[in-house]
Amino acid sequence: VAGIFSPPADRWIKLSPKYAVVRVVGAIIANTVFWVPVSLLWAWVFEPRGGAMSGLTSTLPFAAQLQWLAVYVGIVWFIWRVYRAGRYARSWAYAERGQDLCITRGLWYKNLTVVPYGRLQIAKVDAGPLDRLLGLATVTLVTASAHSNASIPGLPAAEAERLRDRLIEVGDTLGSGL
Amino acid sequence: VTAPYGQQPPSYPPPEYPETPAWTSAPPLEPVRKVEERAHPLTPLVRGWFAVVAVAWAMLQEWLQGRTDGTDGLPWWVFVAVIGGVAALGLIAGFISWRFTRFIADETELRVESGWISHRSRRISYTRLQSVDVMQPLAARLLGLAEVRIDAGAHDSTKLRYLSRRRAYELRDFLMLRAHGAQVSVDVARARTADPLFADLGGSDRVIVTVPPHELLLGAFVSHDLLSLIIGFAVPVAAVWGVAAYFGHEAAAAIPVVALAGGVPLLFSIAQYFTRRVMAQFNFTLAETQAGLRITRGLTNLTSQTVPVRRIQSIRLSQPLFWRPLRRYRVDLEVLGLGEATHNESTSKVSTLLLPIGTKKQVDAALAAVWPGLRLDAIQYVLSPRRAVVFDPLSYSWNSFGVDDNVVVTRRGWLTRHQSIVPHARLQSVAAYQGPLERLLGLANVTFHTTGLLHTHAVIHMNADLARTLVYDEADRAMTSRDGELLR
Repeated sequence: VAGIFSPPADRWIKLSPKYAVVRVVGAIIANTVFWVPVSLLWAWVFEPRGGAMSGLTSTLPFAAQLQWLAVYVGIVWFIWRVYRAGRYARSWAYAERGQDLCITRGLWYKNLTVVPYGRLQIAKVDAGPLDRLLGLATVTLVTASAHSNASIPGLPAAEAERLRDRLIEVGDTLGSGL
Repeated sequence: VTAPYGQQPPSYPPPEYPETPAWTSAPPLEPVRKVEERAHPLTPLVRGWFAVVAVAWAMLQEWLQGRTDGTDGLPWWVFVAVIGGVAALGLIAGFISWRFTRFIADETELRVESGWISHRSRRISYTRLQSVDVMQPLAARLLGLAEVRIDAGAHDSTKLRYLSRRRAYELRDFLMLRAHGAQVSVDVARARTADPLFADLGGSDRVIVTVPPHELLLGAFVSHDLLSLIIGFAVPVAAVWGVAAYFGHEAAAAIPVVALAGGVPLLFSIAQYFTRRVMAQFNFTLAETQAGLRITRGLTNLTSQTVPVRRIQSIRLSQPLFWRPLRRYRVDLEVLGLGEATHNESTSKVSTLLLPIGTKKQVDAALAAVWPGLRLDAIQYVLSPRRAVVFDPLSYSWNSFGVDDNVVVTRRGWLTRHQSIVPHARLQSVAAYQGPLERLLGLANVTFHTTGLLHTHAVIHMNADLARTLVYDEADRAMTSRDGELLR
């Protein structure tokens, strides 16, 4: 028996390998915007001499390590995200199958979404500044359901436009009203 | 379509058509006239009364305060003047708003013109109408007025307030008929047999289910909400008492007295819980009319909601734990375009309820009114495998799914058992997902996406080998299925 996430037709179409770069940059931005201030705050609060919690922390044997705990966690998490970026990008794929589009993603939590072409309301292409720099784009399929959540990031821009045009074309011929 | 899992559902004999309702004989084609009218002249009274009552209440408290303090309060004429002033201002504002508001119904659209200083004109094309509801808040009801609420897909609905009750029903009927493409004149008279206070029934309407108050009380009594209300009070009290008694604290003796004193507000909130539910759902009547299903309910605030059957996306049956021995069910609907619909049983707002509480027989009658072609009892269910007990120790024997030619049915939930019915034709997309632990056990989840935001229809922890087949087959059925068989 084929696994749930094995390709529906002959093969999955993978994303551009450059999408891993987008993930790495995303991890860098998330770290600087979120984790740096948090770990600085942590280091200030758990400063063993004169910090906000010094009365408590100075008595602990590992006070110095505790002060930099958030920084260590941040570094480990960052390395993990960078290490996994390539594999995560490779986990995304899509395939056309008869009258629907299938999208799969995820490493630990795997997901497979199937959207019949007839349910397509809007197909759109988005590209952020980094995407444009790398020549990538995201194709999003919008159905009447807010839960569908069907988008394919990190496609080469030309392929994204080809896919969008094709989706709109098939959606028009197969479309069924609400 | 072949289903490789479970048993193939049997093919059904063609259904017996219900007797042709009286209304299928279409009303005669009359030339449509342009009708222009204003809200009922008593409207300013209804809109202003709340402000008057609020001010009067505040003043009364002030006056009582002055009396009890012994201090010499303000003289009585000040109170009268303030209340009178507020009332007069409210009336004038209401009158101006009434004077500059007009409803115009013509060949293709309804227009609402309003505003004195800044002019507002709202146009609603009949073809865009989603649903038209009639609400009667208490103040309006006392004066025999009603509000017509028009939903046209957007998140805010257009409210026409207030019309006379009869006129509101007439306008509603007219709009619903036009929405269904019938050419009727605005002033088409409706064959009303009677005009009872708690109902909204025309001569040709067929009542399907009515829910008597004692059923509502029963449902409210054996519910989780009541139990959690009581537990939320009793557990902390018992815990404090137990701890105090254990340590022999002298406060232990006083705690039962304190608890009794605290029990009074508890009783109040329980009473409020009961009255709210019963008042909101009082005389719940589900009827089949020319324009769709009509739900009428309410004791003080009368709500009359019309649900166009074609816009129903899914149905969900629920059974809370304590309703199981009583064999009672609750039925909810997912309706396209009802952005403001609530799940709550205790309000008079537009809600998702098709039946607040009912026996199997009543549920079947309600389901038959929505989808006459539905054969729920013939569906074979595929249960989750035994190993799913790790994830759902209390519900793995209930978690299941079933498929026939028209619908996919999913069952889940342990405290409240849910059963979602989604027609293949209403499905927007299908998804499967699997976490690391589920992968280890060979389990997976499948979710069916519909347009509604209230429910998620999912098969949880099913056999992973079946999940793939289910997802792809369901996507195929979504494309090939039409809901014609369900609707007849």
